[in-house]
Amino acid sequence: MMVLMALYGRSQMTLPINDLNIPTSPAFVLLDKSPASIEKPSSPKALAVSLVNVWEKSGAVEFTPYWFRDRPAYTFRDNLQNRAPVFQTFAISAATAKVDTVTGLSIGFRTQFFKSYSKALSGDILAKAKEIIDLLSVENPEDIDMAAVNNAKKELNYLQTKTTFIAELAGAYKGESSPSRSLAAAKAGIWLHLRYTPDKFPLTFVGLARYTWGAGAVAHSGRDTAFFDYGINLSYQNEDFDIQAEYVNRRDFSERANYDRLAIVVNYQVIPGIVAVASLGKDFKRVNNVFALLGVKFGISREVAKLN
Amino acid sequence: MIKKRTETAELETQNDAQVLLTVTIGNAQIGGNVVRFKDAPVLLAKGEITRLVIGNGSELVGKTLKIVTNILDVNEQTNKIVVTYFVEGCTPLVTVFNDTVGNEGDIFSLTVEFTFK
Repeated sequence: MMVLMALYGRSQMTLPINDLNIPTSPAFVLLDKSPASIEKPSSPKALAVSLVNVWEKSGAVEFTPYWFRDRPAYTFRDNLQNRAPVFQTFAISAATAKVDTVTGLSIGFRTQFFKSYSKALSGDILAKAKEIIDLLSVENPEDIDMAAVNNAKKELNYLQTKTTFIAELAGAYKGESSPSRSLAAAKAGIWLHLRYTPDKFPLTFVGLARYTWGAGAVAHSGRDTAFFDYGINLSYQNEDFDIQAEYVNRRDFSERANYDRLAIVVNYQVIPGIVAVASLGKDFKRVNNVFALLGVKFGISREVAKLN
Repeated sequence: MIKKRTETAELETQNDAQVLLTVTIGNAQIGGNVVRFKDAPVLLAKGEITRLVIGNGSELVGKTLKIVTNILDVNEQTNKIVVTYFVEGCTPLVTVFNDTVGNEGDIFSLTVEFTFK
């Protein structure tokens, strides 16, 4: 738990770069609603059932068609060395939601079109896989050291997230219908995410872009029309401090205007449990747009919460 | 959790052709093997198995090869398991087994006994 004491300089911040991140399920984002549950069918038959459920009762479904069939020749090593896992990661999401008399239907996709690991990182991943293979190579499965296997799997998962370079694309399209109007397009969006992490230097470069536009009746009504947002984030981290610089630009096509935001954030660990925080930047607004924040964070607990 | 399964199969040898075993774990999962002749005290091999020399066809008739393959579900996109046994110098050349585990992180343990004819 951290307690932040801050001295504010200026106005609130809007559209941080994290808002431009590719959503895990693009269809749900356009619906502006979090589904109560998400069905994840793993076969065409299960998919048919899920789609019927989603349409009749409102809900959400997400599936990766490539894995509906077994891939007997596609090994772990093949997957690691696959630099264009477009099909393997192509996921489709769909959701329906009802608000008053209006039913919203949204469909989206997401895929990685480029992924690579450095030679050193590939070596580490294969070494960890070899460790797991050795743990599994026992004649009586009851003799498998499950604790060691689970531990090695966690370390493997962590290594696999440290891609050297990754490029992802996502898109979604939303339609609306009501008793007085048949299904018509309402909103659409497309996202692009690029990340580069050099192997020998603790620096990460992230580039994000998003284009959203109102379609059909929404476009003509003037509300919520077209925006193009892009952002760049540079971060450096070591044991005692981390520094992040980010720039976000928005192009509002309906107002024919550009807005941008620049922020630099530094966290410095003075002593274990006490971190000094400073941030400085310029917000989207044309006036009163400079912000500065200085604070101290106190760590009360040493436990670390991780979201997997 | 470990899901277990046992299978048997027959392989027809081709006279004195050398018999070679390769085990391929598909669906981007990770697996390890233990190979021995049934009831024999000595292990033939363990770990990844690629073109392991089992013996000459004529010497293997009547013998049973026991392979234990333990597969960990590491692919977050699927819980399906598929393992292929290529036995060169025998018919059929390829034997494939499919299954599914309940959750990512589960282990599938397959014991296959190939009897040579």
